[in-house]
Amino acid sequence: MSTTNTHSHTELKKKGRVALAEIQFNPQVTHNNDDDVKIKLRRDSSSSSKKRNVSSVLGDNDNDNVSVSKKLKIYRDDEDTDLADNEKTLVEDIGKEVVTDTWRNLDLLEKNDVSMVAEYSNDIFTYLYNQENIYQPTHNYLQDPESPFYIRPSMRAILVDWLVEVHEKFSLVPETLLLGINIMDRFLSFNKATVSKLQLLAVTSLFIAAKFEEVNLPTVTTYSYITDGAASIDDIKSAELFILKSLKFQISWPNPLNFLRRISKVDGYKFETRNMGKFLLEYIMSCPRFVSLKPSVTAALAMYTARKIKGDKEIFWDSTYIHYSGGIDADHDLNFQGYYRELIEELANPTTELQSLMNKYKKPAFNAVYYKIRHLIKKEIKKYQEE
Amino acid sequence: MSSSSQFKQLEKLGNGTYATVYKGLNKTTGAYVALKEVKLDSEEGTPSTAIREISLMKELKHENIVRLYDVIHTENKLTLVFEYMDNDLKKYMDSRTVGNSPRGLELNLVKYFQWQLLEGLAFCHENKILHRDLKPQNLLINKKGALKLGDFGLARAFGIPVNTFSSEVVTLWYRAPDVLMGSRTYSTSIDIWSCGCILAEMITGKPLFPGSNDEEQLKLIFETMGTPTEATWPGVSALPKYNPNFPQRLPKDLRMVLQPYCKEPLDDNVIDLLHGLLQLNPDMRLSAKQALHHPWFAEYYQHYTPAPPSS
Repeated sequence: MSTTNTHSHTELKKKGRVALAEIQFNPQVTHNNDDDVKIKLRRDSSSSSKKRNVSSVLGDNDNDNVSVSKKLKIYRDDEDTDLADNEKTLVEDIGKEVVTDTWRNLDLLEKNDVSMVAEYSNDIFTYLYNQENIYQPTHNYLQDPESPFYIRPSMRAILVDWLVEVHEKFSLVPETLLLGINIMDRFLSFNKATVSKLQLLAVTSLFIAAKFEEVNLPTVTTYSYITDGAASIDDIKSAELFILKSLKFQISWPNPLNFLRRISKVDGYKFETRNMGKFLLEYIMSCPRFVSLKPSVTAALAMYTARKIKGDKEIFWDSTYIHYSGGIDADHDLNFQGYYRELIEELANPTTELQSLMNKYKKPAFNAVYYKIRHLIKKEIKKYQEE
Repeated sequence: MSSSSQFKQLEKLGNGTYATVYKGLNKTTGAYVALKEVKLDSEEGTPSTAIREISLMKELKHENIVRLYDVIHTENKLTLVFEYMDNDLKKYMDSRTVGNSPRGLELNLVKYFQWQLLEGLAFCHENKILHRDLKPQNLLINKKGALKLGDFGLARAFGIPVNTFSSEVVTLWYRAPDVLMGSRTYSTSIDIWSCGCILAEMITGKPLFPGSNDEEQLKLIFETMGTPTEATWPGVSALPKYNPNFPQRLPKDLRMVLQPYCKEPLDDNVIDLLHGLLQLNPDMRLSAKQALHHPWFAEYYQHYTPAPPSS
């Protein structure tokens, strides 16, 4: 792990300098030292408050997700008549992943007609589809160089990729990373941030996201430490309040992982597809192009792409998928097809460097899903070009 | 955000989970408010409880949930401006105690309060929020008989599917047996157990399971509700703190347990509702929505909006 990290650290520094070179016209920077803008990341966190075993915890996390998905089936699926056709796939799939005890529970629940989260599932998703509109960045602040809020896409990519690394190092839940990115994007879409403050903004966004999502919180000292002096404890604490006020304390963002898991229910939570979907979700969130996509669209794009490149043979994006993605007719929606095309082209020939994200998904803890995606993307692009 | 000069701070109302609450007067409108002050000088910055409470309550606009009007930031504290309520259910029940003997509420008032509790809770759950600290102190009431859920300091949003959470939640007496046995994948059912405990407490005027530690809490629950087995609760033995040597008890008749402390006769419906809320197995517990359709509330859902009971 240390070799890849050192490598990516050098990359980060290099990228920091490139980004710096690009923004030299910014008066903030001209009399600042190079170091101020660099994204710093401590490699060795042994002296920080809590050292956790990253790979094992991450492994566990994924198991958690699987077991929770099992629970989801029990609570929610039994009343879904839409799923009748998939019953067989469901049962087979469940048989692989689920202990029989839990499966019997489902029968029990059906018999007694007690399935309370299923009962709320539709209410909750109606609510989330509604809420996602108010939690969006006002616009994609990476697109118009004339805008006062503009920052270079490459700068954001450096920040996001650094967050991926910090998030992994702290062993936080997947929701926290995505919420952290959303907090940062929303803030930047209507606040002018000087380049020297961007890393403070990024680390504080993650700090806030963790407070909303996590059970066990890394201390503020740990966050400060990981910036290697770029953000002091007091910096982070005052930035926290500044960001919270700026966002009017609206932190309860509909996390795309909710939508992703809902779509995943249609194929009976196929592990590999969902795993690919999770990688793609983080990838889409990291790509400058997709900053203003709604979480439900992001999730649908991730799952659609995963299924498409995997070449799942069964009915592709039928009415059941449309229903569980919140009404996205992926095959016929021209915008959506546009996103899909852009995404696979970006995956095949990246214009944004996301080294930490790639490294993370090369690891066994994440089923080395990156390699699989790369392989499949090449095939898919070829198919596309032939058409 | 309004400015702090808009409010005059009056007497202290109490201490919440992470803050001090004062009565306040809105000088512009003349209306009372509750001002919850959160100190910001903690080592870890803004308390996560405050971040959750504010961000979640901003979304919860319902007549059975205390309204968060505003958040004011001054120097080293945040002031949350809430709707003012006269009293809380705990203080109200305490005020009815004569000497050492607690007195329950009239059953028509119990029903009206329980209905409002479940209405507010159903709204939380529909909005993917778990309260996780339901107890009489956190149920605010006023002279008109309105009841509203307050103190969302321990609340959190749940994902779909439900994530794993801390099992260090809910005040001991109102904590569900699955959580006491270390379950971390609880869901909306965690709040329902508390609702069952509160219903029984309103009837008798005394807490149903007043344990002093986790172990005793489970013991008290099992003495009344029976000790769960794999047959009655599949999966129970896999819970982290399950003990195969729990003393084996048979469930008692709830009516026999409660009736001695209630002047009015308890009918089958209320006992049945209690059973639905106090199922040991969380999967078997009623949901708030289902509970609202329970026959005990027939007079309410038939007329849709319940009127406060006279008296």
